[in-house]
Amino acid sequence: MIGRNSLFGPVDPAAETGYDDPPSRKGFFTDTSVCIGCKACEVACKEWNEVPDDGFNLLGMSYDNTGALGGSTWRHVAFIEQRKPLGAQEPGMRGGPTVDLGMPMVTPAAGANEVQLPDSGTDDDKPFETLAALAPQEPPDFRWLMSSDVCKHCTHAACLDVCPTGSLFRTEFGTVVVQDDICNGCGYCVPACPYGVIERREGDKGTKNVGIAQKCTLCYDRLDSGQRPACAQACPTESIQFGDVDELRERASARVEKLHEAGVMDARLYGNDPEDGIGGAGAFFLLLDEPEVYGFPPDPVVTTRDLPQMFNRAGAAALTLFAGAVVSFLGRRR
Amino acid sequence: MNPSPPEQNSEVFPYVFTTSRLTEHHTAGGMSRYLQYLSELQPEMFVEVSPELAAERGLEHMAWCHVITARSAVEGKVMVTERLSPLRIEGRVVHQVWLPYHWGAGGMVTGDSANDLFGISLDPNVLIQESKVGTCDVRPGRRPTGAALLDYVAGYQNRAGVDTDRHASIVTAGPGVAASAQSNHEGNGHAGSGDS
Amino acid sequence: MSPSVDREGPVGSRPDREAVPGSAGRRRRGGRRGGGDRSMVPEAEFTSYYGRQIVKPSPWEADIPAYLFSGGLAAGSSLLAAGADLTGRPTLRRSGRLGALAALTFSMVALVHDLGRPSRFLNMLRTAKLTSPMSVGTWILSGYGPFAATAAVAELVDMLPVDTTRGPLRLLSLVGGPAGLVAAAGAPPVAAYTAVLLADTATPSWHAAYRELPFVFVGSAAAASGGLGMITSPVAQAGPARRMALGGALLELLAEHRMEDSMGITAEPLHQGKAGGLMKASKALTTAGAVGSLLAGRSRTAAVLSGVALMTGSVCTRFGVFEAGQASARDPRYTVIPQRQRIDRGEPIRSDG
Repeated sequence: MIGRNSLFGPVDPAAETGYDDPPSRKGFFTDTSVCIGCKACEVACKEWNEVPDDGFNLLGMSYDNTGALGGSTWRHVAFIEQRKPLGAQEPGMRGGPTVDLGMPMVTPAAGANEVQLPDSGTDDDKPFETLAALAPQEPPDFRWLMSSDVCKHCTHAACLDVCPTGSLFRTEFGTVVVQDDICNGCGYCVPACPYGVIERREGDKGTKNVGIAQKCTLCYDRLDSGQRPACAQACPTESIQFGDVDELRERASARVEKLHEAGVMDARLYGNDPEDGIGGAGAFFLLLDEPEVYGFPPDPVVTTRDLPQMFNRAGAAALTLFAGAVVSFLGRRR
Repeated sequence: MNPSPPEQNSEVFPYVFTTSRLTEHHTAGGMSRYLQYLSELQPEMFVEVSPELAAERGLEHMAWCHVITARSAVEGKVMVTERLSPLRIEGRVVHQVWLPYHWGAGGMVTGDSANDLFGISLDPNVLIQESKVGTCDVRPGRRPTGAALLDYVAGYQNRAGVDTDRHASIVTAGPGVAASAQSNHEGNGHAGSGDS
Repeated sequence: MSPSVDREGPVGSRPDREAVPGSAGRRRRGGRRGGGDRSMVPEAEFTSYYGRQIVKPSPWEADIPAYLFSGGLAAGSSLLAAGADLTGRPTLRRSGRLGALAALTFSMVALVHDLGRPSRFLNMLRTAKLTSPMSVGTWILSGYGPFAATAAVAELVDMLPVDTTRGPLRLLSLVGGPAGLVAAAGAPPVAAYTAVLLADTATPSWHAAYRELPFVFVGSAAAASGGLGMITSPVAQAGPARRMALGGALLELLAEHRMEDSMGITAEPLHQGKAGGLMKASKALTTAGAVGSLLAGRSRTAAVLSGVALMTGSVCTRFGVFEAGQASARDPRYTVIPQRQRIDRGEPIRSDG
């Protein structure tokens, strides 16, 4: 069962785990170029999974008052206001004269700030403010990025690797899920995740699943009955697309090509590559800027990749300690 | 009916504000503020201003501010954003302020109601309430409460000269119309019933 | 940021790589954390999302660094006890065995208390998983603990008046020796695995330290347990404890120095804030204790002072490394900058070489 790519490198996670003839791997393709920031995904997820509220805090991060993924937030919509041009570039209207629409318009008198209505009734009217034309100047570059973040369901999931109770497991769909009745809240998965997704749920004593690790399940309980995850179902723009990961990757590549042809050169995929540090993500993204702009790590890697070396070093250290202890007892009795 | 340039005292309410909705709440918030999943998405009343206006009035992002009109004052957290930009009209700079109208008393998240700012003024043709846009002032800090609030607003009214009756003519048809229209063109757009 | 794309297409693309827009070219602001100007909705900087952390710090509190200390102390004490047993140093043996039991007990209490659902602590034994240092550690402790406990109980039995002990208790006294030896064999893994526990995470300052941290931790364990031996044993018997203490302190200091050299920017949290203070204290105390151990052969007072300094220094080391890791997770720069530097060098992490 331990193969060449068991810890790192491309692999089919469900088959690697030992499922015989598993269904095709399921995941998300989140196309942030069509996200409208409605947060229906956040609400739908919480409704379906009975996730408690995560605090009522105005964060001042544009319209993002959720902050980040965590034990009580399994979908998180990020908002980034940027001084960058919108995707569709250069309509070719900059710098020219204001368009005359042929409507009653105010024309500035030569050399003065005063304006006159063309058909003003009296001669001695005082200057009269009406709707004035905006001074023809370039509007500043501005765009508003919106993106719905979620657990990546990594091919090599550090949270799953380090879980000491076996609570986190790989489903037949290739997703990573916490078994709520087994997790004892050791919290080891929390620092292990390279994306900062999973967290121990905090809250009052009666809160559901408080104290144990909680994260997106890719609606495992919906997949069994042939339904889509709640967030994908709720998304009105199909920014969140659910399906077979292979097919999603093809779709995503085609989408990026299309965007590039349209002049949106910033578009790129994130997490789609099986050769990356986590073996590719089951839930990957189309981004319009660098990953770290959205709060993603630019080059994540599963910590387990280095584990064999770590154990080697620890073994050497243990031997050193043993040898040191032996040496301490050698020699004259002193 | 606040004075606008070049009327006198137009600097008392120098800014234009509008209200509109957020995705996360529903109309006046009476139904959405009682739901945890919506309330946590937009938990507090806030006021969006441009960086230029923030600099002019000393407003700090996420600090308190209050918006004052001739009717009342409401408070909210400052959201400084470049999505709002000042307009240049007739060589003057006109700052815009934006408020959502989803808050009120009651619910998991409470706050001041933006519609408190609007006067009882109706459009002269079909008498629809003017509740989307008006002029205002914005100041840092929280608004006074109770009797102090009334005094505060009264102060603004005095300075703006709107403490007496000012209202738009509502004569839209009949013999009074021409005279009314004439007076509309007099006095710098001040549509009054004859008094300037 | 100079545009990565102009009307003609991507600029500055490396000829041997498919140009990914935005990843070619120099970063404009290489090291600044996100957040920036706080006077408005912060303009999202390229380095972070509003200055927020990316990876999460562990939810652990004082329980875990305290356990790091007590686990190492137990391990070192068991080694000293076994050696003392074999070389006829009864007081050193006694203090080693009892010290190990006390430290082990404290360790178990701390570990269970740390859980989000302490009542489910036995679930740790549901599985044995090599990819999980915590699972490996659970089984290491399960292998070491009972034997260390048996040796200590045997010691306690020996301390009772002879006529109060009957057959079965006498038996315990006999197995004490062998149990102590097995415990000593299991002790080094106990002392070393906790470094893997911390390093096998995405916490920048822990993961980056994975090569030297095991040596820091075993050195610290030896120093602490040697210190305890110096405090509790007469000078005549405490020779091995003094040597363990000195050797451990030197190993810890040397390994710590090499560790920081190899960590790049993630070494910063070891010098700043709470962690920085703790690491400074640990170096000072460990050095003082090491020097003191040279005098401890002549003076019991010097031995005690040296022992206290070493044990305190060991506590500071564990808490300092722990806090540094937590701080490194909270600040996105320690996650973003090393990764972005990798990419800019043309060396992103890839499995296809």
